Amino acid sequence: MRKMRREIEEILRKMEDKHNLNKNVLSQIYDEEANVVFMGKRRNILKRVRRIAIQARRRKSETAETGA
Amino acid sequence: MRLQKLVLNNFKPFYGRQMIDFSTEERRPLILIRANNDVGKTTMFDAVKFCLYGAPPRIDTVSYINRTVRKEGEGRTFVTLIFYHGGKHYQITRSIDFSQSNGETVAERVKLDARVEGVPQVLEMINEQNEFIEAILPEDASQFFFFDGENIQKYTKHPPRKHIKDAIEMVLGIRELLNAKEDLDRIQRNLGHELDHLLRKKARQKEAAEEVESLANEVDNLESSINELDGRTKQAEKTLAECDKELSKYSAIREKINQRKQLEQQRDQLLEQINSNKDEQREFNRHLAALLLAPLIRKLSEVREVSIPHWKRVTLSMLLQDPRNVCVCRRPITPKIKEMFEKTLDKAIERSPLQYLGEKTDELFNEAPVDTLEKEFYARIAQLRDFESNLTSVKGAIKKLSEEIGGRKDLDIAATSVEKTRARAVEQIECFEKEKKQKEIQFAVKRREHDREQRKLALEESDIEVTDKREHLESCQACNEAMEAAIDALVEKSKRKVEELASKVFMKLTNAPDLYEGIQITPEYELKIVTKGGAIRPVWDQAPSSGASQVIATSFIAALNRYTAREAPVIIDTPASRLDPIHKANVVRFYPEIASQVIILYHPGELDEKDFRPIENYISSEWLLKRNPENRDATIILRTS
Repeated sequence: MRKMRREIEEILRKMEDKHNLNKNVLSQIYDEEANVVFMGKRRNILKRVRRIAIQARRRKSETAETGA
Repeated sequence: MRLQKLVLNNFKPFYGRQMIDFSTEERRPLILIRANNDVGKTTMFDAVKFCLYGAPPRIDTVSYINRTVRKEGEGRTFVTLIFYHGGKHYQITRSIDFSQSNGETVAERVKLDARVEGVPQVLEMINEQNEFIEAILPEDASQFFFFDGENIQKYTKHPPRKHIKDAIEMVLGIRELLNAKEDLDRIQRNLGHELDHLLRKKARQKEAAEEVESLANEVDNLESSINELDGRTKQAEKTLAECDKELSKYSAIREKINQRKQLEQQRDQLLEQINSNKDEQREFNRHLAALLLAPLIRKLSEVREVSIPHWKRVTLSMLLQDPRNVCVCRRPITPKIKEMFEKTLDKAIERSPLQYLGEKTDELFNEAPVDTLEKEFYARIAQLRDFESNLTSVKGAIKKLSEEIGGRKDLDIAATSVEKTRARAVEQIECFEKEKKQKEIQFAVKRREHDREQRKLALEESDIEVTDKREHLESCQACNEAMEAAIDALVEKSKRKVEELASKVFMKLTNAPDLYEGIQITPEYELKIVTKGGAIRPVWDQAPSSGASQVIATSFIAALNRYTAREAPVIIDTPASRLDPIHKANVVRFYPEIASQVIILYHPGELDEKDFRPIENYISSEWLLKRNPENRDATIILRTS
């Protein structure tokens, strides 16, 4: 884990809640991008991030459940 | 990262192999490298960056090869950096093989050779090489470790540019988040385009549906037109058949009429013949008396055969009585002739009315012999009978035909009318068929078009897909916004720390610490000076001189350097050329604090021994770059202390 990872994780988690996103969505994107930065796996990154991003928002029912 | 050695081989002005030792002693982090301008100071700075990160884009690598060695033909230029990082020994060499072709130097691709603890690393792909180097010191962050004192003023320029935010973002090491933001932007753009495309498609789809409907209508119209044409054709064919039937009737009647005409002609001929026969008969009737008297005349003829005419009797009597016995013809009358005369005279009787009648009939008979007349008579009678019989049969036939023909006097007019109708019907049929063919072609074309459009329509995205796409876009937008907010939050959080660190450094470096309280980074990422009176002023307003700006920028860079918390050397090129003596002294005094290894590349005009005196206890080694007296194109490295 990178030095700032914990700090970044916390902020990402907060933003996920604030923007009504599914849990770990931003972390997943972060991990994909980290693979690119540190492992050079640029291939298909857009596809992978897109897949995560388009399913990022919590459904209304999920929101209601979470709220409840 | 702690530098040990830098080896330069035929790199720019460094001809042959040149080496500089960067190792430092405990609590002596400074290495001073002095050089006049255009000797190789900046080249050494560039050599470190080249060794780690390769040649910048659009740089001709031939320019890295020493000019003297280029003339010697083939060879190799390389830079080797030896250092410790994370407790391991690293040796990185970046090399360029070159050769001569047509009198020009041709450089091959730059190669990287990396060894960790003496073990060669397999780094064939550029990605692998970048990954390897990024793990040591990311190129983005290297600008806060390897910097040109004259170039750092960009952070104090007005209006504020993205430099401050970019610098903080880079120093935070949040490349992953920045890349994520960039990728999410791209994905969002793509999704936006896709949604636009879908919406346009939907609009087109609506138009297409209308078009399909109109095509369907056209197809229906064409179909009904064809059916109508079929009906009209059938009607015309029916008319044609009726006409043909009518005309066939007419042709039969016409035949009968012709027959009747012929018979009438025949009848007329017969009548003429009968008349002629009758005329002839009337003429013949003249002979009718003779004919009627023929039996009597025949009887009379028998009688007349035995009698002689009166004159003959008289003559005979006279001749018999004549003693001369000479005939009127002067021939002698022999007893035999006399006897014959006498016999004839004996037989002769006196001429009677009957004899007269006989004579008359003879005349008649002379004109027309009875036998011939009789034959002729019977022949005429028979001929007349034949004529009359033929006439009767012809009349009968005429009557029969007339009955069959009936009273169709306007037959030809009617037939002509029917023929006209027929011709019109034929024309109509041809016209209808032609039209039908055209309509059928149109129908086929429209039908195909309609089917194609309908198939396409069936394949078109539904509203659900538009909704889905919209949701995807919104989700991506939310994600992007969240990521941006996360970056902002991180930067904001770091900004305070950077501000704090920069203020501390600034207070050490400034020539007027009694006037200032520190540096502030505004929400717009502009560097501002906080004065003792609490006033906050932009750097360009408060410290417009380049020296003051350089001090503020150095404070900011130093803060970022510290904030990265990376163990890396600081290499400063031309650190104090624009600084006044107080700033210079402050900056020089600050150098030992900036990092655990500080390499200062300076020229004699900006710093001298006096300037370094306050920090002489922090200097590990001093080096001098100078031109080789034997080769003015080559620079040599000399250790001075």
